Amino acid sequence: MASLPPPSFIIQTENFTLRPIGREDASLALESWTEDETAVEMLNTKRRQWSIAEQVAYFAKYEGQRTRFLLGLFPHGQNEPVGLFIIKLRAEDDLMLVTHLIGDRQWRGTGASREASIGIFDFFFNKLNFKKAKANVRPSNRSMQWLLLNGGWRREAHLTRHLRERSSGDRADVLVFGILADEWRASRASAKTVRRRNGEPQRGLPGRS
Amino acid sequence: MSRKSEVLTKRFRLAPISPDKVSDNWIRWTGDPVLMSQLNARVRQATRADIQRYVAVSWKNRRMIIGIYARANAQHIGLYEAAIDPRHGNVTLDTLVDQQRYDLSNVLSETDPALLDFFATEHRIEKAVALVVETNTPLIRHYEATGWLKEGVLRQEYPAVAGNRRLDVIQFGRFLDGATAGKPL
Repeated sequence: MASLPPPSFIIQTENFTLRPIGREDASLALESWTEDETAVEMLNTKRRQWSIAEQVAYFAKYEGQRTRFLLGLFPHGQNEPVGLFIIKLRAEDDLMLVTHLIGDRQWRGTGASREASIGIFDFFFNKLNFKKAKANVRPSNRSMQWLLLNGGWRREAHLTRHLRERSSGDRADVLVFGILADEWRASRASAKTVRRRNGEPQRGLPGRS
Repeated sequence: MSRKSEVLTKRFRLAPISPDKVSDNWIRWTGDPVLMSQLNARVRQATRADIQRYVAVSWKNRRMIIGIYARANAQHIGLYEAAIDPRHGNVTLDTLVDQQRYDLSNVLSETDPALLDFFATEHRIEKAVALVVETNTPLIRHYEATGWLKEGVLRQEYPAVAGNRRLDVIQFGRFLDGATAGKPL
């Protein structure tokens, strides 16, 4: 059976640190995240500015939890996260549910999600012995679907009118994707871990030196 | 369903099970290898106290335990476990019927509509969800035959209680806007 992670842990990749976000991580840099349609859908919230007080309240909900983690994605040398992962664990079934958002638009399409997910799954699949990961994705979020399918995930279910929108009360569909630990290991071994442009490995990130 | 309410159909009565209402039949089901195998549950002759603890914890975690009783002789013949997600207006159902004595589909064809109507009217539930492990063939056939929407197959979702393999789960959904007690599903 899978093990739960310790209360505090850090995952390091070549360019990022992933660690639980605390209320002390609330910052002005994150205020614009919930003005974005993708983030609004993912967090099932209203489009608005994400105030420091709301961030603190949101981050605090994950404090002390043993089966739910909010991990920030911090580029090395940077104090503000550029994205987050929400990890919900069902250790009795060796299963994890992953939700992911790159909140800082400048980091979208840079390979940050791919690199971070390698760190995440190395930790949960290989160290803690989880056997399957799942992700719920809105049908309109085609970039996330592309990312998952290219990472070896499979679409397992289309849940019709499954979610009630907080803003309108309308019901919305959701797609369920899944990847088994063995599938991920095979995908990891064959995938490029550094995104290439014009045949060259991408070292820097757009708009950043 | 509050602990005092009940739902009646022509042949059956649906009523919440509190710890003091755990039946001898339920204790017997936990030792039924066929039934437990279908549910991917370990065969263990649970004691009344074991099940009473389970029921108490379920209610505490807002998971309703609803018994199915034959009106003719008051026999306890099955149960629903229902987890309500008020945020999204969904209810997730787990179902057990004593198939040594009763035909599953014959029972559920009558009790499902009544229960779903209850959730729609009393809890403003808009969608019912059932996650059925691949070994529970009678329940899968019942949902397929009664118009539930097969929404997907969750691969290797649960570890099997026997052996090292993992089992698929079939996810079904049903919208409750048309559910009424008198209308067959």
